[in-house]
Amino acid sequence: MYDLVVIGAGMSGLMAAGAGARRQKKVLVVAKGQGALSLSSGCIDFNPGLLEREEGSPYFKVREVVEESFNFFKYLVKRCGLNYVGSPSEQTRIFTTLGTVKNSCLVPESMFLENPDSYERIIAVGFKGYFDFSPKMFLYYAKKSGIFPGLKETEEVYFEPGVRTVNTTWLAQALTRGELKEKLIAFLKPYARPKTLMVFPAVLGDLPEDRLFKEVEEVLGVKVVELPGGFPSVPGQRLHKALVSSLKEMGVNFLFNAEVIGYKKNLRQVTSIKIKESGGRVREISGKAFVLATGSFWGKGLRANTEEICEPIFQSKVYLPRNFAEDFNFLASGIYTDEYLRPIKELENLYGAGSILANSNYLKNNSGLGLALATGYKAGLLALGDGEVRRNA
Amino acid sequence: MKKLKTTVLIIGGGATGTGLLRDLALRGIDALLVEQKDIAHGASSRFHGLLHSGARYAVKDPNAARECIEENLILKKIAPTCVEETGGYFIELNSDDPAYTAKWLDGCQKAGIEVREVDPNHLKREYPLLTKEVKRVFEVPDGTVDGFRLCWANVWQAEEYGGRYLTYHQLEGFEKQHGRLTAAKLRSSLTGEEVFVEFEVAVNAAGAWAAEVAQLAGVKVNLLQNKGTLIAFNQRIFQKVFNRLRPPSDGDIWVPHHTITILGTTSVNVDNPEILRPTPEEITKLLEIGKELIPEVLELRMLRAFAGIRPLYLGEESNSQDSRSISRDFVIIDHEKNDGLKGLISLVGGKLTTYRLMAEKTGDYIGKLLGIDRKSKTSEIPLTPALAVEEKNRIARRYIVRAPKIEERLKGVTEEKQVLCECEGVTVAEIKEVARWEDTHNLEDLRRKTRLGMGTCQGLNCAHRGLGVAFTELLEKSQEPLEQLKEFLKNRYAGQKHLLWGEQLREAELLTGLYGCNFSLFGGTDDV
Amino acid sequence: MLKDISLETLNHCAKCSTCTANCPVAKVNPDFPGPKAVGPDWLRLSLNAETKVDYPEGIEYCSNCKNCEIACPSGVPVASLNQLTRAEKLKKKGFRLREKLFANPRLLGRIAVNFAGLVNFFTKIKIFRLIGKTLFGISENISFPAYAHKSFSRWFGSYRQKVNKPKNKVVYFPGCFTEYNKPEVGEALVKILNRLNYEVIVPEFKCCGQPAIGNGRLDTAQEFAHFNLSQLKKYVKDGTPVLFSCPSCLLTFKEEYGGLLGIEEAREFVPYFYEAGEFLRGLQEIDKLLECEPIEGKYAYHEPCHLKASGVGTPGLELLNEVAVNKIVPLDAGCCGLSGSYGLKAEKEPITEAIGQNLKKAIDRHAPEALVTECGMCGVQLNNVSGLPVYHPLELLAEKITKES
Ligand SMILES: Cc1cc2nc3c(=O)[nH]c(=O)nc-3n(C[C@H](O)[C@H](O)[C@H](O)COP(=O)(O)OP(=O)(O)OC[C@H]3O[C@@H](n4cnc5c(N)ncnc54)[C@H](O)[C@@H]3O)c2cc1C
Ligand SMILES: Cc1cc2nc3c(=O)[nH]c(=O)nc-3n(C[C@H](O)[C@H](O)[C@H](O)COP(=O)(O)OP(=O)(O)OC[C@H]3O[C@@H](n4cnc5c(N)ncnc54)[C@H](O)[C@@H]3O)c2cc1C
Ligand code: SF4
Ligand code: SF4
Repeated sequence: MYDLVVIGAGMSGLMAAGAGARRQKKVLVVAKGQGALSLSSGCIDFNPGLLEREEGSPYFKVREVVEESFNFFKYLVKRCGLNYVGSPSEQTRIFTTLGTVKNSCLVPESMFLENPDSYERIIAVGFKGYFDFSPKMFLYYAKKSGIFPGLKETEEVYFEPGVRTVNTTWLAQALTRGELKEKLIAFLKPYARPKTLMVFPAVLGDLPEDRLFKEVEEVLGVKVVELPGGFPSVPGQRLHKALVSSLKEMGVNFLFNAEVIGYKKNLRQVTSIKIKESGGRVREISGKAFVLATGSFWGKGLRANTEEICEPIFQSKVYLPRNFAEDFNFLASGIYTDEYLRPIKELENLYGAGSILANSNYLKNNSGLGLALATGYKAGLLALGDGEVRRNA
Repeated sequence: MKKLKTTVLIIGGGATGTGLLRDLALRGIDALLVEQKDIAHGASSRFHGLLHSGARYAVKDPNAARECIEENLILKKIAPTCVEETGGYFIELNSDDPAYTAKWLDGCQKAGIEVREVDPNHLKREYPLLTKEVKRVFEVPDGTVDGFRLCWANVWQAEEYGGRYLTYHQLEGFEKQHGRLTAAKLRSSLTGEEVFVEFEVAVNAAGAWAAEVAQLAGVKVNLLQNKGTLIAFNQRIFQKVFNRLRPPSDGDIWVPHHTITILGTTSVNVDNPEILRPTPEEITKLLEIGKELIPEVLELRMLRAFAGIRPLYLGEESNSQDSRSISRDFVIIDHEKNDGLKGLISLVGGKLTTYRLMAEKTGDYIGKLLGIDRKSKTSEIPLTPALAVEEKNRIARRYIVRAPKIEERLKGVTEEKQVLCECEGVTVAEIKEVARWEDTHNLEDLRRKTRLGMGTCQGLNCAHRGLGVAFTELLEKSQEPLEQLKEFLKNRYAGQKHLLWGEQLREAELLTGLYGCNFSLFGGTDDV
Repeated sequence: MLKDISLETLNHCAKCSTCTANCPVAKVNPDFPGPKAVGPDWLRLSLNAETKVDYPEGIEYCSNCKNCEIACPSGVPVASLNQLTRAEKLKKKGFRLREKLFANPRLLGRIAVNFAGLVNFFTKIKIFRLIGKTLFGISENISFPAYAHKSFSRWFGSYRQKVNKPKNKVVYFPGCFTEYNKPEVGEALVKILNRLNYEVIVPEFKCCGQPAIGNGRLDTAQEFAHFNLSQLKKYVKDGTPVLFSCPSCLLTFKEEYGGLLGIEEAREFVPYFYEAGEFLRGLQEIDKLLECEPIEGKYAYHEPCHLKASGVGTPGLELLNEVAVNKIVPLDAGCCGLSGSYGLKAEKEPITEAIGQNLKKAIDRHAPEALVTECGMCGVQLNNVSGLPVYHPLELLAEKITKES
């Protein structure tokens, strides 16, 4: 019997599990597949302005735990050697591989760009045979952005990894291994001068604890920045891995490759969930409280057929935005919850979190992972009956 | 203002216009084609992709049927890389009228369309998705045709024979002198530059826009604009064209088109050639009818829905509104005869399958007008080399006369061999080379020529990569590269948004997440 | 069968690359373009003659570790698809003797167990390993699992189960590794079950078939599957649970028989298949036994990929943590890289080694005294990279909870 059973291993589910683990509870996370988390840029988007939104919005419901949850998140990932910089109260600017500027709140240390005006040179490092990053395009837009007023020169350079085809997955791991790493550093050495910023696609190590960017910085005495880009997203994978590993170390149990397909209840409580595992075997898992953190359409928390949109596990009521297909409105779809993040009145120990919540249009609100982080954390606390949070809420 | 001169001005870069350009060029008649957007912007790409055997018209329109089978055979011979000889099935279901089958068989025989009956059990075994209601099956020489490829093949061959073309140039008006059109005013939709073209004869091959072009000349072409909606499925579900054996009706054809399959079409009259929006009713209808052949049609992954406009010629005066009964045969209107205006010919109607024939007839007519008596060579001179449908011929089949430049890049050990668009297997070499071409003006043009972004992911993985790989080349174009990317994505979404459920919706969210969040391409925060 | 797996792939794959990001082989081998490219991408293109290539390049490097499938957000059976394609490719190219040998560990095992000392000796000597490499393409550097001197079934045949009044019965499938290499695991399970008043039945079995699948010999695997299922039929009919101590065997019975191998009736057996730890954890009576003398020492746990794929979580770890003084550290270093006989092949050796690096890093970081994992072959690799002793959770548990008080 678990104190807390979390459905979904995205940002919101993992943060809910973290809240439980922090209080030494027996926690289980059940998930079928990775959701949006590991495909994200790894940057925790959040929009502080939205906290002032009216009651009923998911932002309002978490406003008092935002700071705490972000700090706890930083602690969690740091356990695995992954440092995040920033705070939920202020946005920071980072660049992407396309050369576009992205505003986010918490960013991996390797993407953080402080004092852009202090650089006179940018070296954009590409890889021969690697087509997910065009140094040329990046430099063109970086110059245009006006964010580097002190810029005097730029250069695009291409490192040759020496294999026939170069893909992100291979590159990220290969660069951290002895020989290639040495070669890369030796190759970059001639470009190392003061006031130089070196930018790379986000492939400098595939594991959370890989700190290749720091090594390059230290050896060459330049500033290094990683740029998030397309799929697969290495920083997204690092983030996912860091959270899962930390939670495992903290004693959270994981059940992967199992899909939750239903539940059982008594009068006012969910008593167990039904899961379908490999081979189609169905069994039940019981717990004292449950968090529904299954994401939106991509995560499969919401499903749409030609007729309707539903939340398939508990059949919670779903909000269907008007002009669904226009202007990315479909992202606002989601389940309604009460002030304690509970989607269904009759199920007192069920809580919802993350992008499955109604009105959590992460694109328009620029706060996908941030909201998932805070709502997940809070749902975890609430599910454990944390009195303090309730009083504040 | 730029000034140009030509003997024949062709307005419209669809199959008709490009076919005529080729026809005239092969005859040695000087011609210039102008197209408001990219080649095959209109119905010549927003169509079903069926190279008719004529069997569909066997009962109702024996004339059209005969023309189709003749042209079908000619195209297979002259343009083997633009068409695929898939063959097609006509399928009679238990609920269909057997009397129609008899009439149909008779019609096919009269039109000279070869028909062979096939064991339905064989078909059911090969395609487990197919309904159990299949009663009789007949094979006919249907094929498929790639509109983009065919139109470009026409253009490129014409170019070799001296034909000229301008894309992204819209006709805005004519100059008239003494009852004769003498010149046209064009405007570049990319740069806004004006171009003035003097000509002896102008040919209005503007498809669904033909009435508007005629109006610019102060004459009238009586057209019915009829919209057909189609749904593209993610995979090649069938290896042959699947037709229902019943009087031609909505939603009864499935056409395998490269990696995908297209189901269509509907038939709705509209009053503007720009109304290209499939409606929910049309989609529902298509899927309902699709269900009759594949009961689990809703389980199949779809990519997008799109629509094209058929211009149906109403003749001088007609109020007929039942569009399916109007013959799809084409007409050549000499406005001197109809309206007393010299120097303008309008070409309307027809099918893509018979585009060559239309061009030939029009070429003959123009030749007569100009007093140049030369025979059309379009059925003799091959348009593309005869290369089997095999992967090793992919580049040569797709890029035809321009293939050697790409093959050159792919020789030896080169990173340009790497596949950039993983859904459609498009290599880096193709992207880089095609981006260089003068007739490629943006990422969308690149897509149309290479199939970049036409597969499952609809640009998720390949659009940003393509932009980066060809950045140097795309920066030379008049449109800003990131704007090109945005337009690309917008157009992809325009097709996806009609099918926002199931996996299509998940894909749409993925695209939004990548470009909206990871790349912040759609601007930043929504200010509160 | 092929139709279903292909259709599911075509209908659900969104081309998100999550699978490739999680493929341990793609991470270290630039010649393997990853599950997405050899799976869904190739499949879709292969239906169109103009883009069809016979077989995807590099597919033979796939190790069927299932990480792609576990990670896929869309539920695509991408690993199964890749096994089918790979099997076809290998079949067309013709099997080497090596594939035939590895496909049926019983063949090797039966001989080896009788001459265990000799075989273990040979597999350790460089020159014989070199011969193995030249003749059969078998890796000369990776250490082979050692063979036991007495097979599990021989032990079991002579063991008198101590069950008071047998309340219940279970069937146990020991699998080749327990049978020939590490009978201690089976012995531990039998003893624990006896303490819980369960009588253990071990019918005659063939290999589960996973090595045959891994070596592209699907027909051999099917043959094994049919035999094994027929042996189980009468027990399953009575509702007798079937226990597995090897995660790969479990996964094969649960997932591959009905899925990849397309044996429809196998699905009916699935509800009766249990991972041994999972079964034990589900018993009320276990609680009392767990109040035993605690397990001391510092252990680190490796989660086998096939356990993860079975969707049962980590019950062995959970059980151990009930008894252990120090919480057992999860290594969480991903795939071990050996993937059954995969890692024993010469051309795969650098891959195996490279993947193993992550394990090594994690072990170094935690510096445990010994390692714990359910999978025998993972154990071989763990021992390879660390030199530390490796235990099955059942072994550690049995030591404590079967101690006569
Ligand atoms: C492509 C993409 C990129 C993005 N980039 C960013 C970014 O850079 N920054 C940012 O801040 N936001 C980004 N977002 C938004 C952000 O990722 C999401 O808002 C956030 O991850 C949602 O987290 P979640 O935990 O609610 O859902 P998810 O991360 O989607 O997790 C859902 C989990 O539930 C599991 N699940 C679902 N149904 C079941 C079931 N029945 N049984 C078992 N398990 C189930 C899934 O497998 C998955 O593990 C991006 C979104 C997308 C799609
Ligand atoms: C839904 C649908 C399905 C079809 N399916 C098939 C099929 O399966 N098989 C078949 O054989 N036929 C099919 N057809 C018919 C076939 O598509 C058309 O007959 C053929 O494409 C017509 O070509 P076109 O060149 O005449 O017209 P279009 O391709 O429409 O070309 C007209 C061009 O003129 C340009 N233009 C317009 N105004 C101007 C201007 N002012 N200045 C410059 N340029 C201008 C347009 O941009 C356009 O590119 C289908 C048609 C539709 C609508
Ligand atoms: S993870 Fe699944 S959906 Fe994504 S590319 Fe791989 S198989 Fe396709
Ligand atoms: S089964 Fe393992 S090795 Fe094979 S493609 Fe999937 S993740 Fe890679």
